Amino acid sequence: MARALVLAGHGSHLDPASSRPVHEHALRLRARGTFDEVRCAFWKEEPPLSRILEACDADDVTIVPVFISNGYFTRTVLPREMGLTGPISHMSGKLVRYTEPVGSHPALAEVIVERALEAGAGPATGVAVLGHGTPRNPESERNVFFQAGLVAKMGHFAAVAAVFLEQEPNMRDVFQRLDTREIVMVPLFVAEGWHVGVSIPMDMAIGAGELRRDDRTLRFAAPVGTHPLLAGVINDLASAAAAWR
Amino acid sequence: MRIEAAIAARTSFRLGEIEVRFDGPVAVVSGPPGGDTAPVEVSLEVLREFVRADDHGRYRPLPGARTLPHGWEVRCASAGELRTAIDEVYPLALQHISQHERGDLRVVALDDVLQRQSGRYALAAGLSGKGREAACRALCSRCVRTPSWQEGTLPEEAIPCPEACSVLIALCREAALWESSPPAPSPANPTLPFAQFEAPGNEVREAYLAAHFAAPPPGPVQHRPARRR
Repeated sequence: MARALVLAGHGSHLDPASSRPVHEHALRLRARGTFDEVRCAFWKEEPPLSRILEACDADDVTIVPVFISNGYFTRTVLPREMGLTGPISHMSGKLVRYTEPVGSHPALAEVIVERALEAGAGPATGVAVLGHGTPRNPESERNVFFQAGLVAKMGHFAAVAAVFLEQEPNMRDVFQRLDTREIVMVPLFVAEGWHVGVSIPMDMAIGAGELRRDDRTLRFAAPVGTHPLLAGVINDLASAAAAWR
Repeated sequence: MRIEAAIAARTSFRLGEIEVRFDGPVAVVSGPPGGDTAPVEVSLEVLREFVRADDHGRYRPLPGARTLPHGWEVRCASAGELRTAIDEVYPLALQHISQHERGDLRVVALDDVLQRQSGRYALAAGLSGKGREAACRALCSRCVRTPSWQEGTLPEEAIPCPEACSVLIALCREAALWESSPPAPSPANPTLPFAQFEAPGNEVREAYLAAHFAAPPPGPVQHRPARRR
């Protein structure tokens, strides 16, 4: 039975960077050759979520949401737009498997560590895992706390905390949340889009990737979603789903 | 199967703003002509990124928008590469053309698309019929695809659009807000982001406002008071 992998992303009407990592991960996954076809689909770009399943030649399709949180998009928008009825759906002769989002996979913690190390974090550094969060959906914070907890257990850094863009504990309080002299903030975001590239550095007054406060420094890492290792996380999620019956 | 037949027979064809011709064993996909200068050769690997910006570097969130950059071509060594190139420029267009020609294209009405929206886009379903017509005129007239969800027969060369896209949904949302509080028109500024409909001067916004809120022609029925413009 031919197998297809669909990477479902958010996309943007205003920012071409939003979908770029999803396409790049698709390229990496095509090169692995595990799936007969690897496609991308987006909520706000083309090809759209609502038409991608019909475009797949394979009759066994696995959808991996390239989202951090398990919230509004993964529970409401994607299932509605793609006509999914649960983790396994049967549609027009196709078996469709729908996995948890990349943000729920434990291997993502290793990508967070990589991003922190790239930004110069060491054993004395405090690492802030920065999530979007929203007070409108309590589910949206869950994976951020989960990943921050995994990074803390790995023991590479002096301290680890979860902070958020749009809810408490807020990123602006990061110097109170972590008491190390050096802090690295790792955005748990998929893309180098509006938030990571513009709004967060502006809100935090981070110039040239670094913020100084008295004798303390905060450095801003690249987002986890653009790291090539994320393709492995997607592959792990899809491979685990292959055993579902 | 018009396009597939042309690919199999290796005969030139036009699709939206691109042209395909055959040069020996190679299929050449060209963007709109760029004047007197020779077209820039673009590789298949970078084509998707290349066509995501117009001649002015402005992001193209609607791949079908008639704003493809001018003066480029891609050389494809096989029919498979040619299909990939077309799909990078117009995602799913080949599938939708084939499905339309076979009679099994799944078409979804605009109202069904708007009614199923939630969150910030739930407002879109509140747009009036007149507003929906104006939104389609303002946006879809800028796209190479032809809505299959509107009445009428598609022209033979059409790229069918089976379902309202997310850009049209976003426009309907903004337009629904404008119906209760019509904004003042501004001169159209084609350098503003294509889908930033809340920005005065956005060309699609201004086209919509001109179509929807212009003084109606003389007649007994007025849908809303005429605005001073």
